[in-house]
Amino acid sequence: MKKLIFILFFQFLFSQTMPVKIDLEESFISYDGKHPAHNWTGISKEIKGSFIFDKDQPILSKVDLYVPVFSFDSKNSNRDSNMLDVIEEYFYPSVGFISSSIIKKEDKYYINGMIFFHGIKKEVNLPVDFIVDNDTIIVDTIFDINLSDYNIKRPSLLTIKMKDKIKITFHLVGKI
Amino acid sequence: MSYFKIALLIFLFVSESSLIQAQSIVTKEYHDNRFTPQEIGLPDNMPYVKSIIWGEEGIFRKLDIGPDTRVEELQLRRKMLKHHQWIGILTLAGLAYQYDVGKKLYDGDDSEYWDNHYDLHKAMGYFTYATYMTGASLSIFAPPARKYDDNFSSIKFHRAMAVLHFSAMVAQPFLAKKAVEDGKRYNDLMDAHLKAGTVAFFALSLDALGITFFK
Repeated sequence: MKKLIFILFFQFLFSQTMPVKIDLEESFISYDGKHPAHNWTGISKEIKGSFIFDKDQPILSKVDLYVPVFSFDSKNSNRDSNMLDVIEEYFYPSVGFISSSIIKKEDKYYINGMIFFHGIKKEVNLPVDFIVDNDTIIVDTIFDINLSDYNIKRPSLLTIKMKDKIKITFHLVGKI
Repeated sequence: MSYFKIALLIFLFVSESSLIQAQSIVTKEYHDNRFTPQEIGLPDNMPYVKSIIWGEEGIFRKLDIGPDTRVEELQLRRKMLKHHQWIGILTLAGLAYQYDVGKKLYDGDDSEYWDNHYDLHKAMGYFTYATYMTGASLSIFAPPARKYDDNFSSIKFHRAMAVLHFSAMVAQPFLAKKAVEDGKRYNDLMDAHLKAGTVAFFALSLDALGITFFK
């Protein structure tokens, strides 16, 4: 019994799992859209939700983040409005990600979870890089998604549709 | 076991459980809220013309024209702008033909060419005028977008060029009609008609290039 109390006590006392305070100035999520005529990038800094980081065992960390799709800015409000139309922002105001597990393979972390976008849930496995420097954590991931996977009708310009595949870049800076 | 040990054990167990619970983060309500659509209002920085038509005190609001909800307005806008694009392409193709034929009619002395193409040029004039004005109306009268900003972008360029080609398109048939009616000023008015046609065609071409290739 003493051992059990001892273990529980120290586990409680020295738990390294902690919520990350997201630095909204430094963090961002962006998408790179492509059309035969031009490419563009839409950026949002409104990353919301929670990120619980386990310093000792990163695979025990948990992520539940979302971004209001209205917040993506490509420096062209007409294009942003078109994107909001095709993703039916008035019905599906956020894009989100919830982790289910994190695995480590050959010094590389992969986060499994669910992307919620345009009313569709899709399981993904994302490669993640992170650096912990004192009380700061920086997390980066880059991955592609297909708009067709989320049942999104691609917008077109002069009858030519944009590319189905868009690149998502996620950069999170937080305090732990 | 002493009461103290039991109390400590319960405390640690509950604490750790709640810590684990806290890490699971998502309550159903919290999760649902983020995906629940909020009411959508009119955008900030609406262009002046748009606010006259679709603003809170806009003409269409007063006359009760248009859909009942903002969501329906946005869906209607999308359809209207899709047609605006297609009609724009059709108009540009028509104007390219018109410009070529019109210039040959103006420059040439070939009476056979005149006989074969004058009526066609006139008919195509009505056609391009009709398609242009239909396309412009679809854009002007479309409900407001979700966002407007002050950045200079392809859409700002599009609006600036629209002022130019719209003015030229309005002037063109008026100048041609006046030229036919007023024999004394025929040459001057036909000069002006050709210039208006040139401005309309090149401004619309430049506009199409701008909206396609500028970010």
